[in-house]
Amino acid sequence: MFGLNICLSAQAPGYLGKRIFIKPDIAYAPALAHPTAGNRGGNTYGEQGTRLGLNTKYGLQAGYAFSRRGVLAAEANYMATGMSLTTYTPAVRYEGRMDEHYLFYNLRGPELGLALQTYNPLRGSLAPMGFFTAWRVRMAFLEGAVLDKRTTYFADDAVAGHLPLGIRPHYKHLTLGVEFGQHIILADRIVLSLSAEINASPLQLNLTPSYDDSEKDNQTIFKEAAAARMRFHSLIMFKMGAGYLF
Amino acid sequence: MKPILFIAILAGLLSGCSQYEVQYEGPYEDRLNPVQPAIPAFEILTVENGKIVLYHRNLSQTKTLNNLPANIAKAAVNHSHDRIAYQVAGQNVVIVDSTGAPVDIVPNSAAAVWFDWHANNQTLCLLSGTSLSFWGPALALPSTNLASLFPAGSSDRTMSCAIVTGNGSVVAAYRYYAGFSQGYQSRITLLPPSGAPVHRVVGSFDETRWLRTDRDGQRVLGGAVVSGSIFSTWNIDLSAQTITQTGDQPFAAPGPSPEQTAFWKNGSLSVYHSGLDQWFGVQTGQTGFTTLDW
Repeated sequence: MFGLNICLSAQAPGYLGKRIFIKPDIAYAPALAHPTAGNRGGNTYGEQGTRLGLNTKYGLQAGYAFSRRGVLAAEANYMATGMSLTTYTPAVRYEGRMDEHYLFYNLRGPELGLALQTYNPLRGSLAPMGFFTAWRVRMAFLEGAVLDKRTTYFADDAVAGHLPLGIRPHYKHLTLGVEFGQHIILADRIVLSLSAEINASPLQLNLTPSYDDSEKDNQTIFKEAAAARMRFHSLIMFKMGAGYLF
Repeated sequence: MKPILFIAILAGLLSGCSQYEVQYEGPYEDRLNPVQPAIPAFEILTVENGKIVLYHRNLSQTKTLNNLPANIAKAAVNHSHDRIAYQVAGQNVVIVDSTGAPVDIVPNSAAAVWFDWHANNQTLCLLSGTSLSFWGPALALPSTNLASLFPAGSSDRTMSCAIVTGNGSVVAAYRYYAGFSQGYQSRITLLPPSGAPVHRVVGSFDETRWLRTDRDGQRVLGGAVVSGSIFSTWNIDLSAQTITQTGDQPFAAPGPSPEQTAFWKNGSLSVYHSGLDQWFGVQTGQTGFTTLDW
């Protein structure tokens, strides 16, 4: 009789049989002196800057506990951050000379991701409750919009205007990440989470060659700046959410 | 845990709420810019693996004239970039427009060893042997026969290039045997409209393979090759009447302004702006590059 009880005690996946959760969440990353969506950060000209900004991201995550150890989660986020860069266009009335444009971009758009959360029952966790480690792949589909521009014209020839920048402000950013966090269950249905993410972009590692910016076309400058900005932006993120268990 | 969560959520929410305050010119979009670029002009001409390839002056765009023969040896584009002359080895020189549409065939030009456009954009100057001839309006020169440039008593004479500049100067490159003590001499000569010719020996076994002039007729570049792998670029300053070595690129061409020059070396086509000290370039093939003009 005793032996039979021991054999049947293995717990089913999920919290009290509830395997699915949907969880809105918010993530923020310390920008330090880098730009945010609403602040240029410690920038070249320095008229306005912050030393500790936060980049914010809003998301929705849905997960399914397919075993006592694992949750497969899909996520959709909306992110926004800032980016400063300098581009050049040929001066309208001076052949071979250049106008210089300092640009502050908003870089924003949706992200889609897949994550595998792993729980360790031997340490008291049971998917989707307790401490977890998540492995994630995420793609951001970003669009840039110039919020502010400062053009330095060659020979101060502002009257002539300047040529279009020729930038198609679209950028995709792929990251692989690992997340450490905890799910807390309240009132049998509410799931609260607190976690930290580390993300890296494997495909962008060799994107920035060591040329002077004035030798590149503006599209390349934009992409390299976006890649550099996103590398730092998503490197470390802190995340919290509150969701519902089904 | 709960106070931490609360503070963290609040901090995150607040950080997303601040609006950017414009400090300079504010938002910008290309489509609202009243200044729009001109249609890109393909100005820089190359011959790569027998094909004429045209490049935009900032090298951002290229156009290959695939409607022309695939075994072109030499070509030249005029300074307004609307006429191109090309030659398949052993055949007459052909004139086409910038799209490759035929304009004319230069009669009796199969023996031409060099040709380039005059600054008037209408006259093609051709060198056959030691004689200059023209397609388009003829140019007034004291003589179209350049045989007198060779030193008296020299032998084994070959003339590889000759051009007529905008101010009426003739620049010629040639090679000859000057006797046992001096051996072969390779020379570039500047023959101004008036005054004495300026000679410059550029080497012994060197062969000058190209000469290019700018549209103002103030600057001429020439290129010589030694033993097939060592190159020298020469600058013929028409005002100072000097001929000096300036580089080691296999090909160069003066740009539309005195500060701009196109170069080709080691599979890279680049444009240099001396005023800004700026280089930018694109990769071409390492081999099969036979002509550069701007």
